[in-house]
Amino acid sequence: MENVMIEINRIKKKLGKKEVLKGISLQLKPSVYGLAGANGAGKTTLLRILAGVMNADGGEIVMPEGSGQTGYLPQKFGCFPELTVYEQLEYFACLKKIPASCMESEILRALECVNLGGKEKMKCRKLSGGMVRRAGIAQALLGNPALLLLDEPTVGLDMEERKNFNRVVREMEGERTVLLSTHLAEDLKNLCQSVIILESGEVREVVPETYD
Amino acid sequence: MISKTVKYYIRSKICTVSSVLFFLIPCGFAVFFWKLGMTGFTLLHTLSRYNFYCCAFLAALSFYFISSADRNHVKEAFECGGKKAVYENHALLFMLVQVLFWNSAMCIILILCSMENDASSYFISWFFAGYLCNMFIPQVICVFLTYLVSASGNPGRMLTPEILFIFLISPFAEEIVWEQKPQFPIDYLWKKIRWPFQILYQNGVWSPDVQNDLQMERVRIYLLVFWLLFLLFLAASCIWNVKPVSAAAGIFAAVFLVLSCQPASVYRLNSSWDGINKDITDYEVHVNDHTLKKPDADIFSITSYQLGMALKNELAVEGNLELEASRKCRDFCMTLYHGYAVKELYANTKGVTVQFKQQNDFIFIHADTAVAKLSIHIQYEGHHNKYYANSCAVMLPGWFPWYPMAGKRQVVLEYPEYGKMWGYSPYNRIKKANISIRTNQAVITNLSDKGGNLYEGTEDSITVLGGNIKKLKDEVAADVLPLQLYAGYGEEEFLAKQKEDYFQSLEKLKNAYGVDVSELEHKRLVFASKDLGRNVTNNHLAVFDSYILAVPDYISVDDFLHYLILQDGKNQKRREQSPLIQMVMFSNIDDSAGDIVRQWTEEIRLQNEKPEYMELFMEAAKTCGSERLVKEAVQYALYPQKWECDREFFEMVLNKTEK
Amino acid sequence: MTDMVKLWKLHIKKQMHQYLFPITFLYLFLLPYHMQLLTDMDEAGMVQVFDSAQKYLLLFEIWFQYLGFRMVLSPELKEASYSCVKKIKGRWMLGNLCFSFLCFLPYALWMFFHCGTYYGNLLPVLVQCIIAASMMYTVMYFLQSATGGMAVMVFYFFCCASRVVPEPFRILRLGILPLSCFPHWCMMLVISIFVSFFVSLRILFM
Repeated sequence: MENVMIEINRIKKKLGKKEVLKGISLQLKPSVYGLAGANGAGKTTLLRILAGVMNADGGEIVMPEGSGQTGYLPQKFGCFPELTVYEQLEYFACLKKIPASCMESEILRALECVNLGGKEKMKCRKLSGGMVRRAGIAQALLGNPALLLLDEPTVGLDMEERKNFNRVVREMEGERTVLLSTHLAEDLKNLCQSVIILESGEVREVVPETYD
Repeated sequence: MISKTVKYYIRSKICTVSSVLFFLIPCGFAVFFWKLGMTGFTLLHTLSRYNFYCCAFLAALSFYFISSADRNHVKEAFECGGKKAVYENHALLFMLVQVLFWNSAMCIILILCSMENDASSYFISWFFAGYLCNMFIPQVICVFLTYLVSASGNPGRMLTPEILFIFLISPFAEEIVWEQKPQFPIDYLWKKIRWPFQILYQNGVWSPDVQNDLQMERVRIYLLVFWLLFLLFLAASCIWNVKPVSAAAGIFAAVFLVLSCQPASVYRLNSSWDGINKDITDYEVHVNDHTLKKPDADIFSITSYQLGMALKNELAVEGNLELEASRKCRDFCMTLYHGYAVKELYANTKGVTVQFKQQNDFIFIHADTAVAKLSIHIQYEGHHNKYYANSCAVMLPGWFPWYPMAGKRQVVLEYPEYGKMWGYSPYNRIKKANISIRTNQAVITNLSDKGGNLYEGTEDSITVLGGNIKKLKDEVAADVLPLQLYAGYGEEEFLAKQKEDYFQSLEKLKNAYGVDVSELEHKRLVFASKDLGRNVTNNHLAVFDSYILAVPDYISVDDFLHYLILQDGKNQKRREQSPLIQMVMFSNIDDSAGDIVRQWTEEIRLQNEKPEYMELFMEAAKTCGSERLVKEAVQYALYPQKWECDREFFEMVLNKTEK
Repeated sequence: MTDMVKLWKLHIKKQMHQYLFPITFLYLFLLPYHMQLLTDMDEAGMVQVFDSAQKYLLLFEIWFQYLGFRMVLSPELKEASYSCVKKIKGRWMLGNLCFSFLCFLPYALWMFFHCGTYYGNLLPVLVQCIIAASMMYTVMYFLQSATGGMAVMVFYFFCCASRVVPEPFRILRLGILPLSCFPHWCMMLVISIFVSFFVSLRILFM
């Protein structure tokens, strides 16, 4: 139980008549975790609960005090078409209460991480699907979050951008807890130190080694 | 954070253009009407009538703006960290600030308009509450509701209930009224469904009653408070998750909803069968059923009224009456409008027990012992659709049986000579009685003000007025309606005009038409708003022992004459049969005699009367002159029993002239 | 055609309440309301009846068109279904129109038989519904949004009802019998120009 960052104890969630999560318990250290499973296994629901977007019906999540912000990239992410990329991230920066003194540098840093540096003044309506996704990753990275939740982050990204994304995530190893939901075996193989396999709302297996 | 939301708003062309239009168009029209000379009250009434369009526009704009996060798939990312509806909350705040600015601008325009076009500062000191209830609060309700729809999990789906809400508060829903009572009470169902949605000013097609407030009754205020609390309850329970606030708001919302459903005197002039047409429905006017009849000889009279009046949601009266009969009897019959239900009636006189029965407009009292003097305690409450009485305003004319009147009275009258028009009887009087009334608020009455809301006197009626009405210290005029005055026509001009009308009318009646004006002279003038006479005819002026109850600008020769003519119910049939009297009644007697005779000539020609009639008429006009002919015709209209027919009248006129 | 019927069934099933509300309102409240207005068979009474009928039938038509296109033009389905819907959208609009007429049919028949010699006024009202449906269809596709189209049409409706729009540009003519202004050559000409202008925009841009 050393260096335990986050404890998830018997989380349950029912959506309508279906029990989507049936008592999930996990202990997450600062590492990169992959979240895998078939469609409808409960991956997105778990991420939403961890992000605080949704409330669990039972169980608890224990986060150590002073653990900091949570960065979350949802499955469906868009931008306000009238805002520029910088302004869109500025919005998120304000939500995350990033001090005004370092807001600009933080936003630019996040944009650099996702290779959108130089495109701060571009209107969001002109962004391609992949660029919107990268902007979403950038907003998740704002404020150096201790917990980073990414739902299908590489969808829509080209090969080059995926490599770049992998690099960014690998740099976060050991610094923060990253929970990454993906269907791509390559992402699980290259990025994740552990893989949590969900099946019908339960943790089927936690594979400590890199998935092969 | 809010600045970012504002920035997004300004960037959105639809939002910016809509805001500009929202400010420019209504404010532009308001300024335009101000410059046209509209008074503050009229302008506020106009704004209230059209506030639905502002609310609908605000709702559409708010929906577009507040649901932007959901529409652009940013909502979920915003809500990371457990912050629910974070964008929507800021967007709501911004919209409410906009609404506040808009309404502030409107208030400034109203104040400036009033300063320029009104005769006094009454409107400025009065209008704020009316503005809040008719303009600001409905807009806030619409924006808040839109926020709830937008911040819900599924704005697209929740839009349907909001559209339904918009429809139910709209003038379209208001228009659906049943003028005749339907066989199946579908209208009752419709009214019950619609009642909670009457948050906007109703009766958009009618001119406002300057005496009454702009629909500021307590029940309406309860309704507005209910909506605010209900929306707060929904927000606190579904979005903000603040359980104590949600529980408190929910409970209070339910309480206010129940309070708003209480029976109340509200002045709503829709053409519903139980609205403005309730009288027709209640009394089912038939030809000749309600012509003024000579009352039966009074067995008893009420010699003393000691009443306490509570004006709250409706009128509640409790007090003692002293009945005095010419001989001992057991049965007493009083008239009280059926809208006032008697809760309690018992005898104060020792050794006497009474039973009572209220049937239609009558109260039948049966004493167990025959008595010549009887003291009773009575308690009743209720309301009338037109003669309102609530905490905001009162319109209770002395000829209307809102207080028990001895004997069986005719509450409504039909006037066959007016083409079967009808109205309330302005001729009901009681025998002079000692009257003492105590009210829970200051009012204007025909009685003397003893201070502390106590009014006493010995009078033949009890008139109580209240609302936007100001007492005067003038010898002749008792009060004025300040919202009716305008720049250049202030209190002094008003008084001068009304007195001039009164004295000149009496002079003309006396000198030009030879009418006996002794019962019209030396009276105080008590003014009520035009809605006193809204029931078609003959209620704009009524003459009592010590005062005349009238609508301003309705004190004229014409009005006096009609009042006197229609008082004579015995000869109504006779008047109906006389073309000349019909012409007198439908002419404007204030015109010059020459014009009147010319009108009559034209009318006779159009009506294709027999040639001999025209000849007689022309001869009479030529022989005795227009002035004399009109004078005699007026006398004929007042006393038709003196001649068998028009021919006899014309012959009398000709003979008189020859002599 | 079979596909369109299936699509229809899906729409009605999913939006049952939204379709039911105006129909319930029409037959439960509006019909009795008109019934009591029709006791006086004079022109003034007829004007009142047809004013009310025009307003509500037009609003319902706008609502039915909105329901018909709500899913088709939703952000989720718009793009994916574009190529399929492109071919059928005109027919779909007509289908919505026919469906709304089917719902109004008992009411229309009742009016036809109870209006005495004024029955001819029903036709202009139905023509107004057709024009409103065409206008709304064009606006919806211009804005690529069913909600936007509905908002514009409702705004136009209110402008017509409050007489803000000059007479020749109004499809809603209140205060006179519909037959008196149908076919008002100026109004029909302007509306035809309006509709054909937007039709040509559609062909160009969609």
